[in-house]
Amino acid sequence: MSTLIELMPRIASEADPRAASVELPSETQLDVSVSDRSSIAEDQIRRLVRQVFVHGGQRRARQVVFSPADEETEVADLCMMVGEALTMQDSGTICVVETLPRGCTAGIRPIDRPPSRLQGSFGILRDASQQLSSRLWFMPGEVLLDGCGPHWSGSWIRGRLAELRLDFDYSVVQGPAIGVHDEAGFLGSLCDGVVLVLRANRTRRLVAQSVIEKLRVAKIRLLGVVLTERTFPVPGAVYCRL
Amino acid sequence: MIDFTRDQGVVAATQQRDFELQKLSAAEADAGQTRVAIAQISQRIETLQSKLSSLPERTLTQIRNADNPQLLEKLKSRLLELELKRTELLTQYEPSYRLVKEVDQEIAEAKEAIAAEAQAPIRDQTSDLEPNHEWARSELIKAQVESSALGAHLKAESWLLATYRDRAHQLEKHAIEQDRLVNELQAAEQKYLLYVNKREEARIGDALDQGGILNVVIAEQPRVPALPKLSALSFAVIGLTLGVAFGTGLAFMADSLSPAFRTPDEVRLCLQTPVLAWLPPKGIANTESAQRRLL
Repeated sequence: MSTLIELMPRIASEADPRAASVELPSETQLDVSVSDRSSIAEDQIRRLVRQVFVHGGQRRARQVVFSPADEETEVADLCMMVGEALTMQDSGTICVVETLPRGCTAGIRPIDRPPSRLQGSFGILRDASQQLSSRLWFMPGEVLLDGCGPHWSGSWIRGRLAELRLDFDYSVVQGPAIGVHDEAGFLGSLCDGVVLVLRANRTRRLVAQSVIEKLRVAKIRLLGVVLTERTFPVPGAVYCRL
Repeated sequence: MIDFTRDQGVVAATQQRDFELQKLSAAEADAGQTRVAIAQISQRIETLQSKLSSLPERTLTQIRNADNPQLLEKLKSRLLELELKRTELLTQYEPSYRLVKEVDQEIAEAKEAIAAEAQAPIRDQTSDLEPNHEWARSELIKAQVESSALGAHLKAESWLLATYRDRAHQLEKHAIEQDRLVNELQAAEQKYLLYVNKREEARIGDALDQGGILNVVIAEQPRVPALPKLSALSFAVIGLTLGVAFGTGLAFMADSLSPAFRTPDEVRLCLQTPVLAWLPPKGIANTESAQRRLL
């Protein structure tokens, strides 16, 4: 989360012509730069986006919750990378949504929101979100949870997600840990599916199996699993040469 | 063994038998050659005899014909005297006179004798021995002598062969008997040595029992070995092998006891769920992300 918060002003300054006095990179430039990259992480993210958002057919998802199995696993960077990759593979608008359970918002550092270029032209949530590029927005947890009571209400969160569907073509939701918080399962049932995020060498098998069982019992659509921070026995320098 | 050697006159029957067999083989080869030579000589004698019967013993080497001059001279002088006598008689008598006719008769006889002598001159013929006949005869004699010599040689050699065979058979029997005696001698020697050792051990045991001593070993001063039993390289190889084996075992144990996921295949097998993506550690990802943004 802290990494994302540190990167966001930079991304926003690149996206905001008034803040950086430079033009936004066009789609063509982004595509060329993407095609030139060959890093493993980006390839994997592009593959994930194609499987979940682009080539899903009738079961193609628009609102997907990325939830870790435990609280030690970080999903903010993953969601942001998914959002960026989605902007390069689809022409729709994308919003990376930060959702935190009650009681966790106190530790969040407030974000200086730059004014949106098209403020007032779309819904309240889109106007309140922070635009990172021409088609990518970031919605902090305070914006999503603004007006919420001490506990999540089913009708309230359903309404928020419906507003998100109206304002954005795709929503990448940073869900809480499924194994710890029940709200994650609830979010997953309201969205098009859940992507379970596991941390290599940390997430225990029993925890993952219990989470899978919980999702199966709640009849929540599990789109797949993402394994983060995978290490290799081969050194990186050698691996890059292979 | 000694009696056998002395009685039979055999020292090494096996070697003597082999020697006799060698001589027998050589004698048999010689007898074969003698038979071949006898056959050759016999054929030579037959051929020479047939040639001797066909070849002449002597041959004419010179023939010379010549008149008898003394006889002709006498006959011609007689004829001349008779003619002179007839001429003288004719001066006195008629040709039909009996004396003249007798002279004529004598003249005619003298002329006939001279003519006969001219018709039958003296013939001188010289002959000599035929060389081929002489050569064949001498060769025949030599072949007959050689044939008789070879016959005697073959006869003597046949006797020698029989002697060698008998001797070889006898030595073979002696060799078998001598081998049996040698084996018995060796067995007796081994038994003797065994009994001697046993007796010596028993004597030592009795002596130790009398002195109340169970075992006696001479104490030696401990010595520092000049070289280590194992070299430094051996220790290094052993240590390296043990280290590799121990480290590999630890790695496998840690791998089997780890409760967390490590690879996408493990996730797929354990959760029966598709793995959409996997990401490297955050440091690498951040570095790549930073590089990407710099692009």
